[in-house]
Amino acid sequence: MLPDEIKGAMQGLVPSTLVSCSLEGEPNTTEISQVWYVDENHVALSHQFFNKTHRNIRANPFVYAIIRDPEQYQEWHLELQYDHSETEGALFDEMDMKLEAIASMTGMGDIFQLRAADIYKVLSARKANSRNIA
Amino acid sequence: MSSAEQSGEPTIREQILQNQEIIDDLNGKLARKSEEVKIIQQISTEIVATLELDKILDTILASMDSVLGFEHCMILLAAQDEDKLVLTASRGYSQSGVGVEVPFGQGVIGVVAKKRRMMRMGNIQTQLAYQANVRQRMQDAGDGGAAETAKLPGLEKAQSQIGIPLLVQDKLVGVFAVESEKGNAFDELDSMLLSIVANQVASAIDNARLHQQETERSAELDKAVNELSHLNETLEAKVDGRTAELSRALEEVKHEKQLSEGLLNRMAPPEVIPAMMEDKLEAEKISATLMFTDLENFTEFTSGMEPDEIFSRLNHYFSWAGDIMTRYRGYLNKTNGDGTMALFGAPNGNDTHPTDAVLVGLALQSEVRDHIPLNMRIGINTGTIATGLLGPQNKGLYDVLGDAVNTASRMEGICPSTGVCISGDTYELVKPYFDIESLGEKDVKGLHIVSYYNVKSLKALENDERRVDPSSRFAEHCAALAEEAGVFRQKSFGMFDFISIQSRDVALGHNEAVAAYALALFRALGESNPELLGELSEETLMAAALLHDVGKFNIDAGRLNERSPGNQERIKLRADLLENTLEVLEKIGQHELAPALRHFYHFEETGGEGGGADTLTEILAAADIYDALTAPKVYKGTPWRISGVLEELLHLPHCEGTERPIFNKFVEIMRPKDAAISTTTKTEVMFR
Repeated sequence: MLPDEIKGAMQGLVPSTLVSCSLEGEPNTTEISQVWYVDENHVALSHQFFNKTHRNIRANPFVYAIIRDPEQYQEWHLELQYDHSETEGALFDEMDMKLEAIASMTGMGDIFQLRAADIYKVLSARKANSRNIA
Repeated sequence: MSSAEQSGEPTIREQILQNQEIIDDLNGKLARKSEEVKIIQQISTEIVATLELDKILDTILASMDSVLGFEHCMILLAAQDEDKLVLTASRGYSQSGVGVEVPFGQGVIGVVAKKRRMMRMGNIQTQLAYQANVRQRMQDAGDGGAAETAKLPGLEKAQSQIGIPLLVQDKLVGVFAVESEKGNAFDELDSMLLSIVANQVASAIDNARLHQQETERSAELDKAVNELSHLNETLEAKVDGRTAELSRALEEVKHEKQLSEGLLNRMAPPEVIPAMMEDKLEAEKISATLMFTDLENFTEFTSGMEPDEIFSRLNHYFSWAGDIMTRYRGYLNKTNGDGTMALFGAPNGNDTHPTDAVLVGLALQSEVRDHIPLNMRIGINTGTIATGLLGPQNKGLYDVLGDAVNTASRMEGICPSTGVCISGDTYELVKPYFDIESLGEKDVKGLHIVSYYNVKSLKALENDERRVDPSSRFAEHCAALAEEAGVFRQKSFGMFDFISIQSRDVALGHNEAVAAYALALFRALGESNPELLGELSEETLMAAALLHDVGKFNIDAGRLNERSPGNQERIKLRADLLENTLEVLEKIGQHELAPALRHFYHFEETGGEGGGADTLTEILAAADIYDALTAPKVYKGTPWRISGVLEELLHLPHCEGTERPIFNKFVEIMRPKDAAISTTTKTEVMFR
C-alpha cells in the first residue's frame, strides 16, 4: 500500500500532524516528530507521553496523519488504525535508540523515553494536492 | 496510488522502456555492489596486514575517505573499565578531537555504544530543533531541569550520522562513526557496507589491542626480567662479596688456629690437644717409658758463643732429636737447658714403648756428633706415671709425674758418657733384643738402690741363641751371612730406615735375618739341588727377603701389635700389608718382585693350596716362618724353641704329602748338627 517514494516523508525531517478523536467525537490535533515506516502496510508512532492522543486511540483506534517530504515538497495523507503496541523487538529498539540519541543531545535523555512503539495499519495513503501545501 | 496509477495503463512501449530503466537501475546497483565488495576486500587486506593499532585506524579512516567518499569519520575506542568512549582517531575535521570522551548513552555514538546496535540517523538538526522546542516548552511550564549536554565530538552541524558498534564476541571494542552535513547522506546500503567493514575493523582492533597488550606485557616482562637479572647480578656480587668476606674470616680463623695449634704443639702432644682445647683432658695413670738426655760440657762448649748461635745450635739439635723420637712414636715433652725429656707410650698407650725408647737412645748416640760435637748421656726408665695438665688454672701444660719419671732422670744422671742407660725395669722388657751390659747397682738419692744397664747395640743374629742354634751348620756362617745381608741392604735399600720400620712390631733384625737364612738356604740348595734354583739370583732373593713386609711402615702399629686378632682382621691385615708393600716396590722400581711377593703371601696364607709354589716362594717362606717363630717378641709372648719350629716347618700343610726338598734343606742347615729331628710330633700349625 505504501510506495517507496513515501519514505522521504518518514525521515522525521519535518514534524508530522496527527489527528485523533475521542469516543465522544471530540477531535485532537498534535505534532509528532516522526512517523516510522514499518512495512508496506504498517507504520509506527512513538508513544512517549501519556497524553490526550494516547487516551483517544485507546478508545478510538482510527487516526489521520499528515506527513511531509521536504525534499519533494510533497504532502501525504494517511488513514491509520491502531493495531497493537510493541515494547521490545527490533523496531522498538531502533526507535528507542534514535529517540535516545536525539534526546541525549539536548540533555533530555531522561524525559524522552519510548514507552512503546504503537503499530498502525495503513488504511489509505494518498498524495495531497501540492497547491494545498503551498 | 502510485504515480503509475495516475498516468493510466502504460503502453507496451512504455512498459519496455520502464523495464529497461529498472534493468539499468538494477545493473547500476549491482555494479556498485561488486565495486563495494572489492573495496571491502581492499580495506580488509590493508587492515589485517598490520597489528599496530594506530596504523589500522589510520588505514581505515583513509580508506573511508578515498574509497567510499566518507569525508568525516572517526573511531572511538571503549575505555577499559568505564562506560565511555575515547576518540582515538578521526579524519576530515579541523581539529582531530583525539582524547575527547563520549559517555555511553550520549548522542548517536554514545547510544550506539550503550545499545551495541548500529544506528543510521538523518535530519539530526531538525530533530534537535523539535526536541529543543519541546524542552523550551517544558522549561517554560516549569517542568524540569534538563541535564546539561556534553560537548560531543564531530561536526557542529551534522545532519546525518552512522554509528556502528565495533563488537568482538559481544564485547564492545568501540564505535565507528561517519557523518555528514547533508540531511540524508546515508542510505541502507551505506549502513550495510559500513557494518561489514566494521566487523573487520573490530577484529583488527581487538587483535591489535591484544597485540599491544602482549607487547606491553612482554615489555613489562622484559623490564621485570631485566630488574630480576640485575638483582641476580647484584645478588651474586653480594654473595661473592659475602663469600670472600667469610673466606677471609675463615682464613684468619685457620691462621689463628694454626698459630694456636702451633703454640699448643709446643706444650702438649698432638693427640691430647683436642681434649686440651675443650678442657676435657683428664689426669690418668699409664705405663710408659721415659727418656732424659743431656749434653756433656754444653756450658763450656757455648762459652764465648753469641746467644744467637747458642740458640741456633740447640734448636737444631732439639729438632733432630725430636724427629727421631717422633719416628719411634715418642714425644719430646720438654727441654731444660740442653737437656730433654721424652715420653714413649704416652699419652696414647702402646706395646712397644720400651724398645722404642732404647732404639731412639741408640739412634741418638750413633748420630749425635753429626749435629753437635758433644757427648750425650741418656737415661731410660719404664714404669707407671700420671699424665695430665699441670700448672695454675688455665695455664696447665701437659706433664707427667711419678717415681718412674724421677728414676729416668737419675738414669741419665748416672749414665756413662755416650751410653744409653736403662733401669732394671726397662732392661727386663728389652733384653731379648739388645746387647746390654750391666752397670751394677747404685744407691740413688731419694730412691732405693737401683740396678742399671748400658745398652750397647741391637743383638747380633749370631749372638742370639734363641734364633740360631750355635751348633747348626748355619751358625758357622751366620756372622758372615748377616754381614753380607747388611751390606746388601745398605747398598740397595739404604733409603729405608729398617729399624724404625721393624720397631713398629718389634721384629728387630727380622728382614736381615730372613735374608741371611735365605742366602744360606740358596747356597746349600746350589750344592745339593742346583736344578731347583733355575734363574733365581741371590740378589733377587735377598731383595725379596729384605722388602717382603716393608709396607708395614704405613700400617697402624696398633693393628700390627694386636695380640689376638680375629681371623678376619688377620687376613685383612696381611692383605693390606701386601698391598702397601707392593706400592713401595712400585715406587722404588722393584716391581718385578711383585709377582713373587704375591705368590709368597698367598703361599703363607693358604698353606700352599693350589700348589705351584716356586723356589723363591718356598725359600722365603721357610726363612720367614722360622724367624717369625723364633724371634723374641716381648709384646706377644714367648717365642718358640728352635727344635719346635723346625718340626713345625716339616709339618706345614704346604709340605704335607709331597716332597719338599727346600724345606728339608732348610731344616737341615738350621738344626743342631747332632740332633735327631723328630718328624712325627705335630705341634700347632702356624698361620691358621
